[in-house]
Amino acid sequence: MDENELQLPTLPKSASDPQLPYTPSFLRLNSRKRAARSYELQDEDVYSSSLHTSSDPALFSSDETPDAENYSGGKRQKKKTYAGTWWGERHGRAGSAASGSSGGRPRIKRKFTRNFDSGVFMCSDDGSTDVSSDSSFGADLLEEQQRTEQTAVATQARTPPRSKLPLNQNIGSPISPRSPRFVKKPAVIDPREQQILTIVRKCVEESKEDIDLSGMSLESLPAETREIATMVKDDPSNLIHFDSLVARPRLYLSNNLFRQFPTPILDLSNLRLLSLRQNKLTHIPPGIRNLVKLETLNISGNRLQSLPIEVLDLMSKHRLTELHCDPNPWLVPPAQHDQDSTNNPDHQRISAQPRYNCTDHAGPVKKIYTWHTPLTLTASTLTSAATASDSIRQSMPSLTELVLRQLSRSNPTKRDLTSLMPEHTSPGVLSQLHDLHQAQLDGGRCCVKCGREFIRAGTTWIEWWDIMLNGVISRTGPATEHVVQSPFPLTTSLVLPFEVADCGSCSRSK
Amino acid sequence: MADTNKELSPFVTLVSADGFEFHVRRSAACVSGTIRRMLDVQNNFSEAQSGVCHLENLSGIVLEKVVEYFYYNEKHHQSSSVADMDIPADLCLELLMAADYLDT
Repeated sequence: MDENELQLPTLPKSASDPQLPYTPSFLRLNSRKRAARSYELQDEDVYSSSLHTSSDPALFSSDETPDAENYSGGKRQKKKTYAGTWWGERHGRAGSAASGSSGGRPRIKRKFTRNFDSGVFMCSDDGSTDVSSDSSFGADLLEEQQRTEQTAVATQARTPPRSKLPLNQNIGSPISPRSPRFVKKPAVIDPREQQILTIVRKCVEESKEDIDLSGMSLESLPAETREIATMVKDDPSNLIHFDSLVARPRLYLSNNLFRQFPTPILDLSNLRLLSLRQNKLTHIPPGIRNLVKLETLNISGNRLQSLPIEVLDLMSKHRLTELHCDPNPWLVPPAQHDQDSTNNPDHQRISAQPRYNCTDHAGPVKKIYTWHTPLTLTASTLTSAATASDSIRQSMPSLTELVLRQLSRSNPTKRDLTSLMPEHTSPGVLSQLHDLHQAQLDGGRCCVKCGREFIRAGTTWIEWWDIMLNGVISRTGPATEHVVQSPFPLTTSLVLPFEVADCGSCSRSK
Repeated sequence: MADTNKELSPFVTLVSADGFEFHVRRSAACVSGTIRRMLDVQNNFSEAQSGVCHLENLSGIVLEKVVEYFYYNEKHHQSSSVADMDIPADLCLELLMAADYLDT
């Protein structure tokens, strides 16, 4: 039987034997690789068991934790024996073979390096990547870049570059954090502004409604003062009454050196009190109409000649009940015989359309009525009045006015556009742009007749109004200032000049 | 002088720097103070004779918008509460200079 049987080739000694003499060459290669892999896996298990990452294990096998440390160690390596260049693998294999596959040799932890030469930089978009390594990464990249550029220059004559893409040379500078485009200049903050901001932020955080910036010899306010608008109340009783949680701050800017009205205030629509006592203001911008919650306005001790008509709106339509306005060099109405002279055409024209026809508010809060028919000023008193009769003839807004309106709409950042203009621009254009900038800062003006916003006023005139507030009016001398308060309606009246303007394009149509 | 007045065509031609010609009604073009003075026969400019105004510092795009404004102004002269003319934001500064030059 034994002789009849076919002589089978000898079986391999064992299937697991890595050094198998009979396997074909391609299989042998494969098996060697497999053997190496199995060896590495064993090593790996020891290695990974000692490695404890603080991050949670991935829930799914397809999950990849994004950290760079997981890239080199842990789970990934169980699946992938080697991640790197092929010559590196061969080198490592040779090294491990030369060492005689001694298991005791500690495995060298592979350092995670990026291959900068690939020409493609894959930015990670999550914030969890290590930020501290970024600067060194940039430095690495720069060095690498310089080296490659130098070598590229050196080798360009001999060998053609592997890739002629300009990307390879240019990619280093724009994305590196050291390039000037990306270096964020530390904002130069005036120490005084810093001081203001500290006070303001402290008040906002502690929900302190009294913001005291008085007596700091300020000339301007930083734009960040607008943060006052974000203040909320810190009163749990409000939660019961379902009141608004918006705080109603009181801002004290008295005894400072403001010559211009601090424009950031115009955005604080929740302001309850604004004190600009003892400053050097000459002008209140019409944008004060935004302060609809204002109850008290103190502008005494300034250099004001008139108020914008919007203040009257604040009193008649909104909550302004307390106005401290003396001493100020208010414009005095012309003498009695001037207003009797009805031969003045301007006078007739304006008095024919009284804006407030003796409003007697039903509410007991306040009472406002015109004192005189509004008068036009002579040109010497108010400069804008001189241009009034000139532009009134045009019933359509001029092209300049239209363009300026469009510019004010398309320039919400209120940037000064004069710097954009080329050289040799006519001074007229520059002054128009300057006026536009100022008008934007002032909060824009509205025509009293048609209500539309305009940039350049058609006509500007002064109206004197007799104000009777039953609330509080302080009419005191410059030395003492005290608030007159009475439970009964006071019959104190106050005659104040208000500056009124229309857009000039609607006057004829009405 | 009397016969030149009779000859006055109701249209004038505005030529931009890059050669675009706009035939505009004379009354509309005279919204601009500069053009009005150019076309005034009393001033005896060559533009008044030929009825062609060469506006060397206005490009065709800007001049087109200016002419649009001329007609906009003339059309809504009598009416009230007219919506503002639509002006593209990228033309604003050029138009502002043009408006300054043309005195409109």
